[in-house]
Amino acid sequence: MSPFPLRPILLVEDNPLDLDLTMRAFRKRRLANTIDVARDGEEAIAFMERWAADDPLPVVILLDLKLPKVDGLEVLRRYKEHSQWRSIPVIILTTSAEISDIRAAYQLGANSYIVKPVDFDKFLEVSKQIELYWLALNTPPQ
Amino acid sequence: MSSDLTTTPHVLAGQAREPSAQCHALLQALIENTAAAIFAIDRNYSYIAFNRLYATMMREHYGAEIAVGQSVWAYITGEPDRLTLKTECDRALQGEDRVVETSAASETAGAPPRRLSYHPLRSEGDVIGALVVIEDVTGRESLRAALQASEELLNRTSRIAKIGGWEFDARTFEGTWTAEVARIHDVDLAAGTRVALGVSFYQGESRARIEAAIHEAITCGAPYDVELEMITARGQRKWVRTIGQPVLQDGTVVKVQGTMQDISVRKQAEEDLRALNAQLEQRVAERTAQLAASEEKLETIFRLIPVGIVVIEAANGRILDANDAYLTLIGYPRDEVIGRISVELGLLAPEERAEIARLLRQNAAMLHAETVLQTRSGARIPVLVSIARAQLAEAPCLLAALYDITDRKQAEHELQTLNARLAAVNRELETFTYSVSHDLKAPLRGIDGYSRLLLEDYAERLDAEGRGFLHNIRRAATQMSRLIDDLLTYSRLERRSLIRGQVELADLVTTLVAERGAEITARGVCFTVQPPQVSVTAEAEGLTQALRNLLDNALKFTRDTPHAEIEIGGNETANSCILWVRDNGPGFDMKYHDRIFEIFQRLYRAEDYPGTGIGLAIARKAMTRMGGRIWAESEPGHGATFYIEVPK
Repeated sequence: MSPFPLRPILLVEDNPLDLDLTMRAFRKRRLANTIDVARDGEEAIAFMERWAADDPLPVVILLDLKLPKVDGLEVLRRYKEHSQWRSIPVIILTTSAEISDIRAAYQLGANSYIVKPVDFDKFLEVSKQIELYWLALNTPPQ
Repeated sequence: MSSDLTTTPHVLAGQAREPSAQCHALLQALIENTAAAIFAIDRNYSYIAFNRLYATMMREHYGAEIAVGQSVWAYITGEPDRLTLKTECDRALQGEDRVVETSAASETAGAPPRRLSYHPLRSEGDVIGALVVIEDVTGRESLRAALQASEELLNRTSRIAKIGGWEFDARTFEGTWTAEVARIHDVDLAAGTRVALGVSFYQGESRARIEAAIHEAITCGAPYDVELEMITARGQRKWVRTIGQPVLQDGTVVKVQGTMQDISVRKQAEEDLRALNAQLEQRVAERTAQLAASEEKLETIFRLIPVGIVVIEAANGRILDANDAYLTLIGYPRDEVIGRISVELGLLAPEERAEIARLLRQNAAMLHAETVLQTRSGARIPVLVSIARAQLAEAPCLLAALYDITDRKQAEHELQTLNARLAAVNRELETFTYSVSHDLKAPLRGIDGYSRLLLEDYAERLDAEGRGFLHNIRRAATQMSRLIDDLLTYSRLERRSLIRGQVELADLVTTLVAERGAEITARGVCFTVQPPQVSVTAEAEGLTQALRNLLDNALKFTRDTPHAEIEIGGNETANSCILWVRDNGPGFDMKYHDRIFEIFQRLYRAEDYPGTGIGLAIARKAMTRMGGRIWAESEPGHGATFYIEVPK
């Protein structure tokens, strides 16, 4: 599939059900990449230290906006401010379709914004698209 | 004189028989010193005697030196002198006394007017000669002429001035009056008068007064000057002024003299003047009353008007006048305000005063400026002040009206507070709704996700019924998700502020149709689109939402219709634009027309036509907010047409 060594996907999600369903969705696709998980904004920010300590960079970050401890937009801002990690593609994956959130996210440098469907079938479709595009088609930053 | 002379010749003649030297000398002296020219002739017309004057006269006239014994005819040669002399002397010699007056015209030119008298000279009864006395009456003539002129002038004056003279004897009461007085009485002058007659022309009060005055005059010698009303002999009413002057002799009044003047004209004028004055006074009184009433009215209005009014002299800020409302407002009594310089009272704080002054400099008049008044007690009252300029009694003034707006300010403040609270509540609601929707959806995802996984991964362990249960679970979750979305949309419509913009209807419709393009093509719906090429000013999102909902409804309700037809069209009116979406679906009974636009109202069963029942409510709210409207026309079994009207 991908010519490059497999890099993990970082999933930032606080809701256990959502997390489980997302994992299952990707597993159905028999995703080879590892899925790293941050359960809140603080953990998500902490990943930057791990990357600094030579942990493998994610090929794409799926970021929910509604996070405890530190808000998703704040996490986004931190990622995108950082000279090293700003190039990692961030997909905002959230239920909010509020225009203010969409604007803020793109303003902060989000690479994509997807509204989470309630329908699981649709979600399966979304995850398939994500995989096809960001994991297969897109050339990640080096 | 003449009588003396007439008798004298008798005497002389009588004594002539024995004339003495004394007699002769006396006679000579008499003749010589008489102011008349005298000569005497005998029956033969010879001079017997003459005086110096005569001699001089003859010398001057005829250049003759006459002498006694000579005939007169020797000297008096011309006519008509000779004839006159002869005629008159003959008569005198007959014993007749004659007097002839000549005027200047009948004599020789240059001769003065004369009075010639011819007298017989007798001696013992016989006429022995004639005596002729010639008097130069020039003086008398001129005197008479002067007298006549004077009399004429007097009469004229008398007539013009309507004044005449009268007098009556205090004892006999007989009197005389001049022509004018008679004329005043409308009686004949010749009639003469007496007191009783004069008095009879008066009646009533006038009569009493004239009688009293006459009585006083006669008894006490008191002069009088009275104005009386009289009735003339012809019955005419006149006013006269009669002045009486008693004339005393030895302490008793012998007569009363006086004047009478017709003062009717003056009296009438006086009467007219009095009437005019009375009229004027009345008019003045009326006008004064009017002015007083007007002033009182204005005064009342000024005093009682519930707006504070103050009049200030523009030059120096001195308060000229103020009404009660103003005084109450500023909290000062009248005597501490009128006449004071307004700045002294400290009614405005420096910043406020500066602002007012600035506005006044900019504008001729100032309307409804808000400022703060500092009252005597130190309270600060928000007021509305309007100032106009006026010229009052030559001085430029400022008229200021003040209105206490404490209540209004308070209401404004309250409104602001309420608005702030409302905004806060709105924000709260927004956050609430946002969180709610997000948080409500999460479990739904769980429900849907796991039921799906169950279906997928545990299908073989479930029977048809079990699978059916899971389907129902999923459907319920989906429904709930849609409901949450719609509720969110509905509430967002309310919260969002109305942002109007230009919307090209044609573009809007095209976009919407494109959104549903896939379904339209897939189902083979016969789609007609004829949107009006109109641009309206509307809230774009709301309009889009409404139209989208109508389109979705049309698509939904024609799902079971064999040859589905959907039409989108519109037309333009003067003030608005009307769009419609027509379908040939099942339609509805018009009696439900109003219900279908209410929230959660559904006409069809959920399993037949799924939906949240909010779509039309959302559409209606969106349209109402922008001042438009939505309505429908339908007949069961004959499709439906939904209209929306957008104001332009």
